[in-house]
Amino acid sequence: MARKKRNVTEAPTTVLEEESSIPIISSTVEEDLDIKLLRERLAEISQAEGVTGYIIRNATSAAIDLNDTSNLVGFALLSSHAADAYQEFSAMFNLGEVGHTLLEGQTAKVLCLTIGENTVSVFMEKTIDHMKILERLLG
Amino acid sequence: MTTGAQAFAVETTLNEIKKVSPDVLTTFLFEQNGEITAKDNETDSSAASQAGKVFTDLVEKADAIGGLESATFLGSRRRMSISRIDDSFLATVASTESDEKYTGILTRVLVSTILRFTDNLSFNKEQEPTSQLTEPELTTNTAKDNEETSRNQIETSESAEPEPDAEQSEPELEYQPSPAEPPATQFIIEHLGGLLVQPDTVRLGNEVIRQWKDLYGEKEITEVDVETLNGQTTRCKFKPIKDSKLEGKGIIQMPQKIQLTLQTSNGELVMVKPVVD
Repeated sequence: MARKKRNVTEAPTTVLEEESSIPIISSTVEEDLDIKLLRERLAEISQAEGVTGYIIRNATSAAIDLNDTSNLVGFALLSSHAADAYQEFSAMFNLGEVGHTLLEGQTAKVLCLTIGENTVSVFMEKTIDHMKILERLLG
Repeated sequence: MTTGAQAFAVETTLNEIKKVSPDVLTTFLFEQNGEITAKDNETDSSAASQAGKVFTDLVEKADAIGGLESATFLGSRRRMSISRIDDSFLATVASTESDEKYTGILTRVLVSTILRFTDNLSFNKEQEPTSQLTEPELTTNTAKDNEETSRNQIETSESAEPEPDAEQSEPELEYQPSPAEPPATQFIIEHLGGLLVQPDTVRLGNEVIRQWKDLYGEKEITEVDVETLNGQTTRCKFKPIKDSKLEGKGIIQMPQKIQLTLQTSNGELVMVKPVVD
């Protein structure tokens, strides 16, 4: 299936419309060097075998690049809830500053982490070594 | 669905895991609906309960990856791991310095083994006639004392009637945790000395005494049977440990006289069972 890449830069705020078949992705800020570099790394990682795509978002923009375009909202919601869950668990159990979150399902897994102002989720097959992906992401 | 006996067994296991692995700070088991079924003694109930709900919400959003089997939340100070065990989830919070594989394997293997073992015991109990599961002398001896054992006796006499299934199965006496058979708890001996020490009395953690009270209700428990790993046993009185710092450490404070009787010493392991009249 062809990978679907979306990057919208018009709307002033980030909105995720669950009812729509196409997730709304928006950006208002000029991409600085950091985010450019991060996106380059993500683009490179997403080409690796077994990596099925990524979502990157910050307060004002988001980009999704996923092989499976049939459930973009599902992936986006999971990514968002993983970050929220981390915040709640951190407050309850004093986990400290965010490192990364790994969610493993029956068919795939997702690595979520915060880099600067950006929250990144990389989706991959279960057999992929997520630590290598993490190393490549953090440079 | 976790039963009361399973919860008790898992809680004991979780407490033991924390003793052998001090880097493990919090452990609890919860159902798919977020309900907490077991936790170690030091875990805050409200935090565990809230965490169960948060994770349940996350599970509902995980269809995109084929449902959620496990999750790891790594922070700068601590790591929280949650993994599915059958229909439940086991959560562990440990220091980031701890060995993730070791603590993960230790907790998952022990808890899933205990769950399956207790599941199996419950299944056997349902399958086999009560008369084969309970030693007759225990029920007849205690029948006068209270309602609960009276009920056991009635069940025993009812099941004594011939049943088609009972004839087919081989009669065998299997271990069943029941009120008639007190649970044994493992402790490490700490020497108890001093002028005012009663030589025939050991001191135990309050949480164990509370568990016995929960288990046996109004039955008065004044003595315990102590058994060493070599099989030496003695019966003695017990009191709660005075030093609150020793609570939950799995320690039994034992006077010299009892140590000599049991041919054991400071730092050795013993099994302790309440004597239920």
